[in-house]
Amino acid sequence: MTERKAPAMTQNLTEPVAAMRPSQDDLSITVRDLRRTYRKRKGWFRSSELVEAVRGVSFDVPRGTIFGMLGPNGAGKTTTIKMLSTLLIPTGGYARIEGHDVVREEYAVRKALGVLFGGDKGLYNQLSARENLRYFGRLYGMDTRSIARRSAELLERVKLTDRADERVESFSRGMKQRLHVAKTLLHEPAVVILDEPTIGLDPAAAIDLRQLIADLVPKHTVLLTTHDMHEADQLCDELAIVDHGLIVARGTPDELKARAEVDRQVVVRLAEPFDGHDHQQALVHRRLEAVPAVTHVRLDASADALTLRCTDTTAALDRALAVLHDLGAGVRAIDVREPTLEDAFLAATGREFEEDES
Amino acid sequence: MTAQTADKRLGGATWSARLYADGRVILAAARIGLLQLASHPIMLLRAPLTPVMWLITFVLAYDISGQRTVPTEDVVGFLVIGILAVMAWDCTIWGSGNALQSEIYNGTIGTTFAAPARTGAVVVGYGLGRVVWGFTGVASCLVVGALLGARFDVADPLAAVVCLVALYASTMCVGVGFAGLFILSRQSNAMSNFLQVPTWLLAGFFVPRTVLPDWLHVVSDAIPLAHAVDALRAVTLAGSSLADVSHSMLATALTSLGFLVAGIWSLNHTDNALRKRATLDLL
Repeated sequence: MTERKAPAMTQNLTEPVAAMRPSQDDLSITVRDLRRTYRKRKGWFRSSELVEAVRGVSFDVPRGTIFGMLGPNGAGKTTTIKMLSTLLIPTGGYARIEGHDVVREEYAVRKALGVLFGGDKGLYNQLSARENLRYFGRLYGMDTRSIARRSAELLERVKLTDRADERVESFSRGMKQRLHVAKTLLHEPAVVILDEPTIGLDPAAAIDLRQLIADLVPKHTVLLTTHDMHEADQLCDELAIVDHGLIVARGTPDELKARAEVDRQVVVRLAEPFDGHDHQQALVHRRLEAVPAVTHVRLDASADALTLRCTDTTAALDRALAVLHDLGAGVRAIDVREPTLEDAFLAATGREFEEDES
Repeated sequence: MTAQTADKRLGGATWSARLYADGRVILAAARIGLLQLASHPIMLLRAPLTPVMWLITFVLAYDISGQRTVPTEDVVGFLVIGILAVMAWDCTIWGSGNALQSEIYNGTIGTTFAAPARTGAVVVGYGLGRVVWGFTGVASCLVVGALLGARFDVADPLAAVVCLVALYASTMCVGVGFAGLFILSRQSNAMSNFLQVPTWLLAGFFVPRTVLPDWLHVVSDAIPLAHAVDALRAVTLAGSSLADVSHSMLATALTSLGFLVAGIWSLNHTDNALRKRATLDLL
């Protein structure tokens, strides 16, 4: 598996660094204060409620890089990419793809873009993989010879050459998703938008697909939406954490994790579980939470491991071990957990990342 | 819209290049429409058999009623042309009209709208695919009609072909006319079914339009298919020439144009309305 590490060309929203900003010519995607409200209609009389799906999003994506939008379901990622791919008209702000405005120059934007929408559908199941590519090639204005050449190349690249003439309905989810990628790249778009590309895939298929995505740069610029922390960490040069229609943090994965370092986690595994008495466990909580560098204490359900969130690992650990010694608890092992993007999300939003949020 | 804006919207492509691209999209959509239909064995059987079943049913109904002729034409020939009109209607309203609905069903609507191809070209392509698909039905209907005693009187074969093409073209225009409405209403199947039987009646597919009450003639005259069917019956059953049916052909052309213009407007409107309304579940 290719490990991608970022050529950091990042701009912190709160600390703009003009000198680090690439010039307009180096940008594939420019988004400024993009907004989208829509009416949620319900009932016989179609009474409606105004929903702000995207509330002013700004970012740039330098050419040949992978930019990720990370957030739970309902955060506004898909609405943002639908605006970028001209399917929705923004209610405010603007966006440009390869210098073309997504509202006024939708034809040019569509030519420059390859879009992979998430979900199980999006292919003609009764047709073969090759027939699907042939049709989508036509929708992008390709001639017969180019379609044949590109289809052969891409089917090989996504390892579907042997199954190219079989109906898509017989494909596994992973194979369909690889065919989606081939369809997206068919017309050699400058910019590729991938909306939750690995959702619903088994781990092996997801690894395959991530490798495929990693290989897209620097030839293509990639905008990836995901709620998979590992995927975002592994693939993206730069990330935006999106929550409730806003970008709440932005930077390289390492930068985001570094910002979350205030809440580093230490897991203390106990030699013996605490007894089941509430007052005993409450005492442990109280004593440990009194340690100055500790911000949060959690005792596992099995009562044999404590998770401490702390601002200063060394100071917190010394004091916490002393407390545990006082209470007669033996320590079997200590794990200091490096900060993850989940920590970054928590630091940016003040709450845990929940995939099922809507 | 200024010429400069138009050019920018097209990303530098000329109108002629886009029209050429539209033609290729129409053919591609027709092809995948046909391939999808052909992927169902039952559809392969249904295409030639259904029109024959319709024909036999109506011939028997007329027989039972003792009605052997309709004004100026024999019943079987009259019904054969009516069945051809039903097939044209099926091809276009279920092909063009439901094209985008079928894209929603396949989950390909987002990809279709995100591509630079014009939506109208995709819609027309699906309709064309259904027309080609219906050829076996046309043939079987003509053969069985002849076996049941239909008396065709074609003085000008070219006129018959022109009228047949006009029939399909007019139904295609009706299909395009409703495509935008179908997708916006999200009730494509229900609307197709709702429109189907009244159209058959008002356009005189199975009973002569002369039996309709006078006040319904206003509605009937606004349906392009009614005039196209009149013209086709006249040239295939009564030996009329193109000149004889010129007024019916003109009425077909004018009413079809009305549906076509409404359809193009509604498809553009649909595209913009969908993008503005953010009907997220639709796209």
